[in-house]
Amino acid sequence: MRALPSHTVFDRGSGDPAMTLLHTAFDALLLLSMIVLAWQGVHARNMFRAVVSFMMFGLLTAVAWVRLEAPDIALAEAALGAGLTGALLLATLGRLEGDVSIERASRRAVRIPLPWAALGLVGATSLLAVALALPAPGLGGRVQEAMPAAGIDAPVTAVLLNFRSWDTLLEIAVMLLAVIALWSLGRDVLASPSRLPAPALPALVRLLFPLFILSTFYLLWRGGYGPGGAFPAGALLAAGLVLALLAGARVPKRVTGAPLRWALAAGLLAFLVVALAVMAESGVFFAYPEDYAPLLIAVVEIAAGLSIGVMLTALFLGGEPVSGDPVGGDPVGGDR
Amino acid sequence: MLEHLPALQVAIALTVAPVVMMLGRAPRLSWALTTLACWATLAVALLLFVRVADGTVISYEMGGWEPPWGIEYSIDAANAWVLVIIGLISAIVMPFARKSVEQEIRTSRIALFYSAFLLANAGLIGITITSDAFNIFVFFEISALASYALIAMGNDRRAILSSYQYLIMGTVGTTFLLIGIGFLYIMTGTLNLGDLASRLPEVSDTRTIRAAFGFIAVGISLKLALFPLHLWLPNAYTYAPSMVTVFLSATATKVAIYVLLRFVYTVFGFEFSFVDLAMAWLLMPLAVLGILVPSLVAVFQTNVKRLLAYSSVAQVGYMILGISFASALGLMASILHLFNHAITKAALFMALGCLVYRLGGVSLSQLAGAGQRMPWTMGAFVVAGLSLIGVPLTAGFVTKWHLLLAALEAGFWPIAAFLLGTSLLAALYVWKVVEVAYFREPEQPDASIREAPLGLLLPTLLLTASTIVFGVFGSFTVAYARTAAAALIGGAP
Repeated sequence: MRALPSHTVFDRGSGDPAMTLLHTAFDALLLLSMIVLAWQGVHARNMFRAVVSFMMFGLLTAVAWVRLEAPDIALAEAALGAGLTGALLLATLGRLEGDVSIERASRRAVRIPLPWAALGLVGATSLLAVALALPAPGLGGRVQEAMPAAGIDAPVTAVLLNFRSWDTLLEIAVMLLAVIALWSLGRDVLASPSRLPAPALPALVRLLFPLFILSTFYLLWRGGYGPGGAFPAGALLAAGLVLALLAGARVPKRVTGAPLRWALAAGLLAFLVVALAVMAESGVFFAYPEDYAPLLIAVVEIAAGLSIGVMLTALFLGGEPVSGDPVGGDPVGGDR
Repeated sequence: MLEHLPALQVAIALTVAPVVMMLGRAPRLSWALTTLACWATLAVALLLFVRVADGTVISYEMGGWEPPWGIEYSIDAANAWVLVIIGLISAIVMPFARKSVEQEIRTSRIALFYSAFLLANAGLIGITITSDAFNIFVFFEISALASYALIAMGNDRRAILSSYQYLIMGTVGTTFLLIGIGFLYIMTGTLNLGDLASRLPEVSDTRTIRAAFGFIAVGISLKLALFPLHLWLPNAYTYAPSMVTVFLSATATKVAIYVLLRFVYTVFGFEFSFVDLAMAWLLMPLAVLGILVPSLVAVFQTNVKRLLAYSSVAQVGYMILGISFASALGLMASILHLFNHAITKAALFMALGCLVYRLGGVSLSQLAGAGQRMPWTMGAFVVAGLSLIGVPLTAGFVTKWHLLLAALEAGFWPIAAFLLGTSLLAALYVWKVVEVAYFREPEQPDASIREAPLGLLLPTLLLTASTIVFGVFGSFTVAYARTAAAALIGGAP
């Protein structure tokens, strides 16, 4: 059994004083860069800059998660916060007509009067003081005690897919709803994802795409032992697929329509079917019988991971792709 | 099987939703499956309701993990009441939905529509049944996202914009709720509502907990459309598809009020909320303004759907007023109004759905002559309208009466007079519709307009009849609301 990361935010109490100093300096730099990037994201002179700052902010957030000893969240953050969200924002930018600079707004905001800066500093310092003084009770200890009964060795996965698997399932429902909400706005809002003007991209994607697929399955498999699991794996799969779309790949006609809907719904359904099936076996909804726990968790994890990947890609695609099958014709007519 | 009722209450709708999505282009089949799921969910809710009616509490541990780190579901008289409201309304609205949805939603999107409806349903049920603060937040997300999708599928172009407004304000609301829950977790290390209730008194005299209370109260107030945080509601109700307006107006705000009650009474406790923070003195003026201003605005509306939407904001005001009396009687009246207003407003919006089906819209000018062309529909509108005003022998009267008693008991006689006065405002805006429908000649008489089809009419009449039944036999609901109020005051679910 692996030990839980012992809640060592900022490595308090790790032996070597030189290392502690180094860590503190690194963390301070990280925080400072995040604040600067956040500021730039809000106040940049044009939208392209704002988007790039936002993506950089996502990357640094991922680094912050690494520092908090949560590498799987870091992976998901990098793929989602920097990668997918960035791609979405850039795609939107490509579709906005006319001038996207926000000169007028920024000219006003550039100069910060000194008193405000001082006040902000005081505010930030007092917030920090409050944060350090807060008690830190949590459920970490209790999770640690319950680990032997969880059926898997990775604490994060155990919490996500066993102790609080119900919340995880519901988050998958939230993602499915995001796709439904997007599709409800109109058909195929972004019929053709814009191609980035990058001549080397197709070649690069051809090289990287198999790696993305491979790491997706590696993360799924590894979820049972260490950091990894459905969400990072799904995010990585989506990142690979979106990259392929950006490089000019098209969604094949025969997977739109029914197969796409099945793939989207499969994760939630598999999760629920397992939950109901174990209810018949063990007498409690969602209580995995101990012998089958690793197998069932693996099944749920693979279905959920693939579904998450497809859902995130569908979010990038925009509206429901035009189906190859002739029933797709719209009798009511007229897109909004 | 009976011991699994709490899990099944949510799981049925949640499981059928992805199945309906997979069906894709089979509108009739997806309607049939959704209807079955809603009826099964109602049956589960009624079974739970019967089992907790005597004051027992049912607890269910999801996944068999104990409450502090696992997720607990618990049902007492208070949330069983809300579960029955949700179950009842969704079960009655589904038969109504078939034709209404076929007319208002594109065929290719009907399966998506029902999928989102089931998830909205599951979300509202989940918020109500769970005893875990974080789980409440997740279910709020589900019901909210589903509502945005459902509203955006409305026929009018403005549906998308109103859905977007709702999204912005709703997101602010749930974010506040999450911040508040985060503060509670930082201070107590637990997310279970019962656990929170027992640990909060130790730390309640801190700024963090007071801030948590503020965030949670404001966040939920946005969701329940408390004046002046109601701005998202009128457009959302006006441009949503007919059946969505029926369902959301009868359930969504009620569930949010239940959550407010649960936090105020059970988690933070009466002492903290009403004595230390003097919450009543904030709620009462807002409730009074919330009744008065939207009622006045409603009088001047020309779109009847929007008129009733403003009336809904005013009705939320009545529920908050009952809470602000800080008495068992006032709380009971509010809980009673959750149910009585749900059936009344659902009946009214269903009647509007029938009118939309035949007339294509419900602006006042379109309604001229509807009283003669569609006598049953307009009859239902009038009867349910009487219940909205609070005329004796209707469900609306039973709550108004108890609100009045609660106001007098607490010594607020000006409020009692105010209640009588605002009933006149309700009479005014209901009369406005009745006058046009019965006494104004249509400008271009269209002989082809007939009574709404039975599929729409029967559910409408059934619900309208229930406003009379629960008006005449009000003692049953009153007795139950009293048990529910006792359960809320009594402590953790």
